Amino acid sequence: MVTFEYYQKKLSNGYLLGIFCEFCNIRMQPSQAVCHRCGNKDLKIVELSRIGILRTFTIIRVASDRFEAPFAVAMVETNDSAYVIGNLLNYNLDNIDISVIGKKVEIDFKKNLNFRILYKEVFSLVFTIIK
Amino acid sequence: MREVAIAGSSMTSFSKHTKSGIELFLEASLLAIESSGLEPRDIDALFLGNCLGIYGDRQAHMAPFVHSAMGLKISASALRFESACATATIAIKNAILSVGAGIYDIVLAGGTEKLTSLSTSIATRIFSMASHAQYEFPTGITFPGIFAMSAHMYSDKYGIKITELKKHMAEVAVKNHFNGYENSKAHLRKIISVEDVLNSAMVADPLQTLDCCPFSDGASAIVIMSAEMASDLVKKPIFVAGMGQGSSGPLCIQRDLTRSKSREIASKIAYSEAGILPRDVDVCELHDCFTIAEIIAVEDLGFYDFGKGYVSASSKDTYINSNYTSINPSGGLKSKGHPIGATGAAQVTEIVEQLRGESENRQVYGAKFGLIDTMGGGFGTVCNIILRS
Repeated sequence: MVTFEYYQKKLSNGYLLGIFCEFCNIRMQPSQAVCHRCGNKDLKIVELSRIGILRTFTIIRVASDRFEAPFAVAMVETNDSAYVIGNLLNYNLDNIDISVIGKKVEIDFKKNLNFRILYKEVFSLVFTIIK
Repeated sequence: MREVAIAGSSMTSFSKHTKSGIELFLEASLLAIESSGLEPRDIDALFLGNCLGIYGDRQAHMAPFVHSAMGLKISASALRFESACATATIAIKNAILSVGAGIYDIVLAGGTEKLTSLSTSIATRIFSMASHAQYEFPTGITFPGIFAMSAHMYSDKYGIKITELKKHMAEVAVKNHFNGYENSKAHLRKIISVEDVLNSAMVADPLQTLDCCPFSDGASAIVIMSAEMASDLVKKPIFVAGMGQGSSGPLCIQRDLTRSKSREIASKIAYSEAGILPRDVDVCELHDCFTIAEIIAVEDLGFYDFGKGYVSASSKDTYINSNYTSINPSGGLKSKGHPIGATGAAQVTEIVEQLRGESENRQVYGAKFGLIDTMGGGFGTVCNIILRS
């Protein structure tokens, strides 16, 4: 199990962590204590690929308090089978359309200024489409 | 387990209310108790659903205040349930289990919510707290956003152009507003067109304002007892035929947002317990928090094959008294409104009235089996209850 504190510490140093179930041959995030597919309790902590495929997205136009719209949220499948969620950057939100699904992205991280209630500093994932 | 029945049910109107969550629940529950031929002192336990009272009402620990205000006996247990948007259905399911097991004889269950006192941005933030706090919330994802991602995934997975899918989604809103127009308790009693939906403001691409249910205040309550006792007390008790519940975790663990494994499992258990198939369901109140959510639900519940449910409203199949199952005759969350903690109990109330033949202009003729489907969070909790007349 990767605690959020440890995940954040490693992410801030450039390591994207997930867990791996060798029986299901699948990597996952967020960290789980037990594999929900097979019940395996011996999940390995692994570093995930920083390259993936964009699986879905939205543009938030009506945001929660303290978030400034518009911005894009996306789910990405990493090259080594984990799904991760983050913000899609460097894209013209007026021109974005469904054709971005299936595009190759680079996965990076940024300091997130919208979540400072429980933690001093939070890093979250950002995706950039690779041309 | 002994057979369990619903003797009485009631709901407040769903709208913007000046009453508190507690006052709203009192209004609904006293009517439900009276319609069951009982007095508040006959109640053995109160299973109260309330999701966000700590924000909307600035009220924690709501159950004992309701208990006191309605004069329940001190020995009657008062419990609060919370399962996001499935809150009341989970309270009702557990009340049914408790009565079935013989732990209590008469349980008052349901839910209440008062949230329109909050601004849209604050309410959006508070609702988003039902997403994963560390991994999902910091991205700024909202609940319209989650279902917007479902819609994009659905379009891509089944090869339906998003412009085409959006028209079919709009038809869901048109149907549910058409039904809700006839419901005096509904929040948004307004006939709308596909053009109205497609011209409304964008909330989270591709979901527009009229793809989304409103924030509402309201309450609903159900009186649950053994079938034997209910048959003695009221003319038309409604019997519990089957129930099921499923749970799922973070979106990235679920991966495929075009179907809900928790609902597939929950409904399978409920159908099996009731000994019926999806085609035997005459009327269904399902969780249409967003138009795409109804399309996903009709597939998960077995009314349509996966990837085929998007035509359910545009084909008119799911209108009241079509040849198929009538879906959301109350107007659904979309038109009737969505006071989170009360929604499931209002769905049960609608099905009870339908099975009793009391739904007037919205009546599904000859309805014998009714299905309730309530979903909490991003498919996190799904609870299905099948009732029969």
